[in-house]
Amino acid sequence: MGNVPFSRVIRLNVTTAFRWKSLLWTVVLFAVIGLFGVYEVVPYPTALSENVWDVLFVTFSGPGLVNDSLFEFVHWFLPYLFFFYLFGNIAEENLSQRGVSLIPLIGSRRKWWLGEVVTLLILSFFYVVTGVATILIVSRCFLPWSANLSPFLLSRGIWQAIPKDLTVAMLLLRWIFPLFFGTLVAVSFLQMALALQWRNAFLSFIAASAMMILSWLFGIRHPSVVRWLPGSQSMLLRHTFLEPQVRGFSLAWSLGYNAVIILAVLAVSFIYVRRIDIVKEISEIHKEA
Amino acid sequence: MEEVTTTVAVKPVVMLEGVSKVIRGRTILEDVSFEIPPAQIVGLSGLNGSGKSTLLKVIGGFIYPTEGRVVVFGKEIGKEAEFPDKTGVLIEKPGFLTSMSGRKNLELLASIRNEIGEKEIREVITLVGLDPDDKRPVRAYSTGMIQRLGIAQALMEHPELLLLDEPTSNLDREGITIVHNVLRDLKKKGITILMTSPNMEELRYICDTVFWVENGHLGKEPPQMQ
Repeated sequence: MGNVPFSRVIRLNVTTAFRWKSLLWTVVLFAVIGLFGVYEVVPYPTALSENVWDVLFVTFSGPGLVNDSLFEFVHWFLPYLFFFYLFGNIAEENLSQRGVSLIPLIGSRRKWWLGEVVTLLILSFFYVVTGVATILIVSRCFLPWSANLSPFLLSRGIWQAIPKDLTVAMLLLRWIFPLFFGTLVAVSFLQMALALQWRNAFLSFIAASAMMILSWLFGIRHPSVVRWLPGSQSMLLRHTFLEPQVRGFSLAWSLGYNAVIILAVLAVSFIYVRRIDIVKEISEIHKEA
Repeated sequence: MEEVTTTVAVKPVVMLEGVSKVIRGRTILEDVSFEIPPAQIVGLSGLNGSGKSTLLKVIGGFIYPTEGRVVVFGKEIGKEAEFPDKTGVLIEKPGFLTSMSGRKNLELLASIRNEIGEKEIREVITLVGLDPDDKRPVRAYSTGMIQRLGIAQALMEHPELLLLDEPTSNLDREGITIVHNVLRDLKKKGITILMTSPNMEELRYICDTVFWVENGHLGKEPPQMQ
């Protein structure tokens, strides 16, 4: 690999991928999603004293096994769709628009690709943090702050499996954050690698989105297939501890599943990228034809 | 006493041996061999689709040949080096970040190797006839200005080999004159230049050697002129 320090590659990638406009739209999107969540939570009897964490829970727990509500699907799907749109294409865009100037300066195709992978990881992390923070802030306008799960969550039958002493922080750390972040990274890595292989950002965006939509659809009332679907990994409501019909679908399973996807994509893409043509083959034929 | 003369063999900067490139079953280059000695301006001309741009991309390491060897500065591209050392490139439409100024774009690219500073960037922008203090984003640039900025980017890291694909396309007469003068000055400094142009007359005017590329083969002159 080239001698350029990797930190410079990352700094350049983040500078070129980050746009204030994207951050603004991310905040707007999560604010709207947060309002959806408030709308779902607030109608319940006030005696149950819901709090901001209920909104976060409702937003990221995904559609359940028997739930075919389009509203709840869209509520869960929008953050993924927007991320695929914003950042799933960073590598292909850099390659097709700036690859000729950028990659020789970096000195190595694989170092460039590793830079794109790490950049996507960083962007995913900040996207998730921005999303969670925005939803909490929006929810706080309508609901009280609390350190623990509300009686609202615990009152619903499905929540009885949650240990009563589970703190909100544990819940976020142990479930929502790893599931949302892990699935986002796994599917967007796949999208980025497909965009490179196909040299077509639009098709890979469609493929990643279709993966999530089909995961929702195929999982409805089919407990035996749920844990094998990539999109299901982020659906807390389809995991065994909340949905006993789905067997063997634990947090460890989802973390492992996402890790396998990420490692497989990295392994294959590193072999593929070693001798990749920096200019599009098809444009070469058209230009020379 | 007999006079003894010694000749020092000049190592070519670029050497191609039997290079072919096939893309999806279509032969773009076929058995191309040639050498470029140092401090020469070499031109490649040919009709659209002849293979001249592909040849430049193969030398630059952007695509690898299906057969044959490309050696630049003594290193085989694809085996000993992914890209040629000390090489400036202008290939295809230069891709800059359209929301930033020209200078910011060059500063960003220069930050990767961190070998040149603001002074050199200002100088090279001025050299191609642009204003380094122009704050407008690249999206407000004309095609000719973007082309000039692309040339500035190719020159900024003090290359010893320049690969320029149609560097004077989209330029007005003043721009063409500036580029020709810059290339001549660079040659005097010992820099080797390989450039393409569909305009044979331009290449004859500026280059030491001109090759004609047709159907992926290299010749000295277009068939009608032989």
